[in-house]
Amino acid sequence: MTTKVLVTGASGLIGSAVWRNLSDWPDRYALTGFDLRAPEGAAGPAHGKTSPSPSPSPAGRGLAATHTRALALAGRGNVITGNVDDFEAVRGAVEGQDAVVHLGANGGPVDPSATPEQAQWQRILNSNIIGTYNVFEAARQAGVKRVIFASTGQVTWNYEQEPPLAQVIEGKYPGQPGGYRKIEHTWPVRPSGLYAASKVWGEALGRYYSDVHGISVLCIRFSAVNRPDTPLHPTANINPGDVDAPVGRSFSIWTSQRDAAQLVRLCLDAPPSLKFDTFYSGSDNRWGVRDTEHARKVLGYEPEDSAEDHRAAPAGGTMSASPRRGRAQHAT
Amino acid sequence: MPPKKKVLVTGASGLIGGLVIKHLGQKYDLSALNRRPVKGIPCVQADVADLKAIRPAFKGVHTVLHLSAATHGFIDDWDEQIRVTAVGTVNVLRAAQEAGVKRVVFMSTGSTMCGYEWYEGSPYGALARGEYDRAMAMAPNAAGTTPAGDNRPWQLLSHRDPPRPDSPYGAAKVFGEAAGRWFSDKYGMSVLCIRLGAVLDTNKPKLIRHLPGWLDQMDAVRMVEACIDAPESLKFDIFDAISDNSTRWRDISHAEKIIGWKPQAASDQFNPEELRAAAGAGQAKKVGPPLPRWRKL
Repeated sequence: MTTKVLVTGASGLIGSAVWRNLSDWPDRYALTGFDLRAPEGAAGPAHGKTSPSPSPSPAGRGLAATHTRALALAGRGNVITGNVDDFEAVRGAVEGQDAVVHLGANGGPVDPSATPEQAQWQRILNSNIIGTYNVFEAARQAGVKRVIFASTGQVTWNYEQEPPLAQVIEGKYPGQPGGYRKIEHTWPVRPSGLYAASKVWGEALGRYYSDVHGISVLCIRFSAVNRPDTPLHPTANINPGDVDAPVGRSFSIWTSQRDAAQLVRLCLDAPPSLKFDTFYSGSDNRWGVRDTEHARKVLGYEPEDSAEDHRAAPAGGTMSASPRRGRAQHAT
Repeated sequence: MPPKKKVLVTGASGLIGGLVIKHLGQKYDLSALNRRPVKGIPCVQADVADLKAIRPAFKGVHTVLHLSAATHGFIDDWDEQIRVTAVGTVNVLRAAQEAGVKRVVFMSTGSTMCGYEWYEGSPYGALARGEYDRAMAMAPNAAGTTPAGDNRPWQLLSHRDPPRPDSPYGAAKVFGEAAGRWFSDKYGMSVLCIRLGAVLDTNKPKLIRHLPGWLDQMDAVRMVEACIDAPESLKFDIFDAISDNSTRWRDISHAEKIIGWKPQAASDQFNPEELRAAAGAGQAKKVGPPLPRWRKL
C-alpha cells in the first residue's frame, strides 16, 4: 500500500535527505513537496508542464495563483510552491494526504528594514508559530492520519551549558560513556532561543491535536544535521548574535542525513496506535548527550553512522566521508 | 522603610488583576498596562500585541506581573491565542528585558496540564467527572511522582511532567513558559511561572470539574505575593497553584519548598452533589472550553 506523504520544507537540508530516502521506495510512498522552492536532489521540474492544482479547500476557494505551480518531478512526486503561513495553500496541499512530514520552518520573506533579531522573530512567528498551526489545522480538516513534526534538539539546549553535560560537549569526556545521564524527551524544556521555543509550541499543538482530534503526532527533535554531513562541522546555533558552538559539540549530537531520514521513515511506518511521542535524532555517537534509546525502543531506530568514525580519520582515509546514501539505494 | 517595589501589572482589569490591586495595592507601587483604563492605579493604555506601544510602560519597573492573555470567550480561538497570549507574552518579556526589569511573574495556567484528564482510564478524568470511587480504585498511573507523605492513590503530576494542554489557550501558555525559560537563561532575568488553578469570580466552584483544581482567591493572591517577594537569586521556576483539595492531582509541594507558599483553603468545603445538580442544569456551557466527546460531564 502506498502512503501519500506531504513533505513541507522539502527543499531544505533535512527535507532533501528525507526526499532522497523516501524516493527509493516509490511503491511505498507517494511524495508531494510543499516548499518555497523545489527540493534539491529531486529531478528538475518538467519543462513547461504544470500539474493540476490539488483539490480546493472545503470553503470552495482554489489556491492562489502563485501557489498552484505544482511541478511534476520525474514521476517522483509533485512540489507545490507555497509558504506555510498561507493557510489556504497549506489546506490545498494536505488534501488527500495520509501523512504530513512538517519540516518547513524559519523561512519566508521579512521586512528588509528589520534588525537580525526582528527578522528572525518575524520568520519564527510566520512559519513556526502560525505556519505550524496551519499545518495541524489543515491536517485535521483534511482527515490526515499522522503528522510528523520536526522539532529541534535545541528545545533542551541549555541543559548542555551546565555540568555535567557541558564538559561532555566540550570534549572533556569522562572515563567511560554512560557516566552521566542523557537528556530525555520528558524533561522540562530549556530552549536555546525563540526558535526553539516556537518548536515547543509546535510540540504542544501536536499533543493537543493528538488528544482532541485523534491525529497521530510524532515529534522528532532533530539534532545537528548538517550539509557537509560530518561531525567535523561546527553545530550552528540558529539564534542571531550567538557564535557557532565548537566542533566538539557535534561529536555529541551529530545526526547523519541518512539517520535523520531513517527516523522520519520509521515514524511514517509506526503503527497507527502510536498516537503521540517525541524522539531525539542522533547518530550512534559514543559521547551522546541526548537520549536516542527511546527511538530505538519505540520505533526500532538503528542509526547507521557514528560520529567517532569521523574522528582523526587519516587524510584521504576511507572513514572521512559518510556516503550520502546508505542502504536506501539498494532497496528494491 | 524601603521604598515600595514598582510592579507593572498587565491585564490588570481582569479577575486576578482586581484581586491584586485590592489586596496588594498597599504593599507595592502598582501600575497597569491595559487596553482599557484601570481604576485606582496609573495605566499605560496599549495592546500587548504591539511591542512598540507597550515599551513606555516598563520604564523604572522592578517586577512585571504578566496577567494579560486572551481568556473569556477566546480559550479556543487560535488567532487570538497566537496574537495575544503567545506573541503578547514574547513582547512583554522583550520589553521587560530591554528595560532592565528584574523579574517577570508570568501567569500560566493549569490548562497546560489538563489534557491529562483526557485519556481513557485516566484517574484525572474520573476526578474531573466527580467519579471519586472510580478514581480511588484505579491503579496509579505510571506518569508523575507522588511526594512522600501524600496518601492519594493516584500519582500527582508536577511541572516536571510533560505538558498536555487542554486548549489553544493552554498551548499558548506552554509556549509562554518556554519563552520565559529562555529569557531567564539568556539574560538572567528572573521569570517565575504560576500555573493557576480554577479561580472563580464568586470564589466558589461552578462545576464538579472545578473541585480538583479549585484555587481560593486569597491563596491565589498569596501565590502572586510569594513570587514577587521571592529572592532575586531565584531565576526560573514553575509553581502549581491549587488549593489543598483532597481531589487534586497536581503536586503543590514544590511551591512550599521553594517560596514557602501553602494554600489555606480547600475545595472539600463544597458539596459535590450540589455541583452535580448544577452541571445537570446546563451550566457546563458557560464555563470552560468545549469538551471532547469522550469527556462526559
